[in-house]
Amino acid sequence: MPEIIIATNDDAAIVTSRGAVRELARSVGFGTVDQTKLATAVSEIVRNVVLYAKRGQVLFTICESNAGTRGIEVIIEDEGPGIQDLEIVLDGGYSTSGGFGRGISGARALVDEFNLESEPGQGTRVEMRKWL
Amino acid sequence: MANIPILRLEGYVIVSIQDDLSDQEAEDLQKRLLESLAVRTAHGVLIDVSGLEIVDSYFCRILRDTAAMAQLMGVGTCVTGLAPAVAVTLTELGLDLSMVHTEGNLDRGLEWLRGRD
Amino acid sequence: MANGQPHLSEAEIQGLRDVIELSRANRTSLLEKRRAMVEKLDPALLQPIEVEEEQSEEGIRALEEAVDSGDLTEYLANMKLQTAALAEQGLEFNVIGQALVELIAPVVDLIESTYKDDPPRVLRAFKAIRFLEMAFLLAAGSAYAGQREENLESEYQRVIRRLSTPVINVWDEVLVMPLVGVVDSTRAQQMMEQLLERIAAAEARFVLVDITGVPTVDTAVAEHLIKTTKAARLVGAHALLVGISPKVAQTLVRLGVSLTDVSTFPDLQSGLAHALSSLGYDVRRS
Repeated sequence: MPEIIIATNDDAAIVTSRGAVRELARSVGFGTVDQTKLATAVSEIVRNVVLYAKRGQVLFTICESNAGTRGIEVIIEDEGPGIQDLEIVLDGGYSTSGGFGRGISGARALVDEFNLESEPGQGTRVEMRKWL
Repeated sequence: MANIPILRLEGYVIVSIQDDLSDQEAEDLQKRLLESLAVRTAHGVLIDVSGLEIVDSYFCRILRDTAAMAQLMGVGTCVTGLAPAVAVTLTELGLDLSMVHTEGNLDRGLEWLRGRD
Repeated sequence: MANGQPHLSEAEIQGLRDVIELSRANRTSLLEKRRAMVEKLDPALLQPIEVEEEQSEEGIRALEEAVDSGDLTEYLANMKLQTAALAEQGLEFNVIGQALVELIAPVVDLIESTYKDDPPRVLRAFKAIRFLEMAFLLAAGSAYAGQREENLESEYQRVIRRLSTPVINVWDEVLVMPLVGVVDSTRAQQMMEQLLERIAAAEARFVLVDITGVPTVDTAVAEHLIKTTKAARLVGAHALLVGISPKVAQTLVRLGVSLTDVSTFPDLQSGLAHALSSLGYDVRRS
């Protein structure tokens, strides 16, 4: 199970993570468009970790649905400040980094399953899955 | 990845991005590109991204800002060679690149810039 | 005709005649493809070549007679009987659909290559073949409906989905994607991906998305169409939305959907004329 540890301000982790998940998606048999979508979603979420959290980690696994479909699961956790206004962030209308304010909501649109848990002061955990 | 060449051909500035860039590298490139426009004026800027497999919201913003800044310096910008998978992803992400002119390949980009002169 | 009306207009008759002519001229190669397909499906269904030759000639003749008379009622009724027979043989609907896809593909290729220099003719023939596809599917659909109502709907949708996203290169740098049937999110997604690949491969400057065959356009579909035009622009092509019927126009306005960023044309012909004249061609009758 590939695992990437993210240190503060380490923007190389963004490149490494999106490259690694793309490679994994390719090997599992995802088409180019789905590889790109998954890698882009990972890029958005990992950037959030790099920008706001003290440290974090990214885990990739090949998973299987109840119906027997193969897919990729990505879990990105950090011990950062957490997200205050979860709903606004998920709606895509909010940005503190001068981006398009689409990072998290955009990532959600690119995968099949998206779960975000966040506790202010404790950290954030994002789970994403994409099926073949 | 350190130094992406910034080329000049017949008064056009051409940058071809062949590999995934970190945020910092993308920002450095933007800075060098704009500096090169200040040193000597150009007819237009071509940014070819045909080698890029991923364009996320950050890089999209870099492209948009670069075009807007070049425009303020009186130079038009064309982004060429976005891969179909990247175009689909950008659209699904809801990212707006409508203020940047895009063409399928360098040839077309050059043709478009020439048509503006 | 698109609504299944059996009476044909002049253009539709011309299109069908071209299809007939092409099928005749390429009978041997089409028959070979058909045999290969049947063999893959179920070798037991393969009949002696003389019988199949006879059958295919008969099929073409029946269509020709119907076209000559300008009234397809009888032809369509026969089609219904034939598909009912297939249903009785126990062939699954999706198998028939797949077979249809494979039978039609070489004819579409022929249309494209034969009339390469005559876009209106390609479109006409293409519409004709599309009409035949739809008529066949409708006939098969109702023949099967009695038998297996429960999963018909989804299979029907699946077949339609596979069938109706061909992209044709009607002219240098001009593509047409005619949409037929229900556009849902999955299909809209596939359609967008397929179209973008083709734009990049053909270095197209214009792509006409023809929605004449889409019965209803709701907010979600409109959203997908807008996305498609945006994505097309990113890879360097102008997407034109053509074939917006008065009914669809009414619906869109009432829903408050804004298509201001999308170039729209009432029909394929005017869209094509716009694309060609933008590319510098002089479009007129000589």
